[in-house]
Amino acid sequence: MGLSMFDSFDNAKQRFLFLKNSMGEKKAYESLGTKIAEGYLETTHGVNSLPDKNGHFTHHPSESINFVNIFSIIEEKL
Amino acid sequence: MQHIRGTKIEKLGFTPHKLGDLIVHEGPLLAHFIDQEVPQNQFLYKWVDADNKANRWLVARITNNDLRRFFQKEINLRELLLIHAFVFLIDLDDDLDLINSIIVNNKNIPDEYLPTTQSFFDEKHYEDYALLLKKQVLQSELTAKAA
Repeated sequence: MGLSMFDSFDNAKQRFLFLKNSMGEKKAYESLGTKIAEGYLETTHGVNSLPDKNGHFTHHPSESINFVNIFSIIEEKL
Repeated sequence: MQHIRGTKIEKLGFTPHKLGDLIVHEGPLLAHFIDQEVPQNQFLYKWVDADNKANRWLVARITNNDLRRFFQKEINLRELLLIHAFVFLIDLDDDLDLINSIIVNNKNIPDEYLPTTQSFFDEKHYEDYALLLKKQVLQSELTAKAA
């Protein structure tokens, strides 16, 4: 399973605001969540696709990864 | 999924042929279709809802002029989808088989199915196909004016 991630906080925020306006606020929060978390991925954590023009990439985690130890919430509600 | 007040129909009345995706995030969210039998008839499909059986799409008929106004930011995506009085809401299963379709008066579309009034065209976040479509639409307008 791949996980959607962004290469910077600004790119994540811009993309979320765009999707919120395009999808509608309620569906965006239901589909994408309400918070942004930040973490530093190392090569042992899994495999990433290359970021697209919006800084979005897909992370394929290794089986042993525990995101709770790597990520922390930095924006509560956009 | 929500029950929406509309008129149930057996078939859409056109043969959808997908030309490309305009917005994608973990799958298409907004796509451009034409009628395979009458290619000048164009439609936008906007993903609006899902449950464990189907995805629901809002299908709005549009014209080249509607698209031009959207790409030139005269209207936003919400206004583009509501530009005609009625839209289709269709439920497609995982095999893309049509399992339910209704015609809905715009006034009966739940607000949560619609983009916000800030949903203006944004080149940075639209797919390459949208940029190509914008170029085609603006070019066809220039050609029409020159003729």
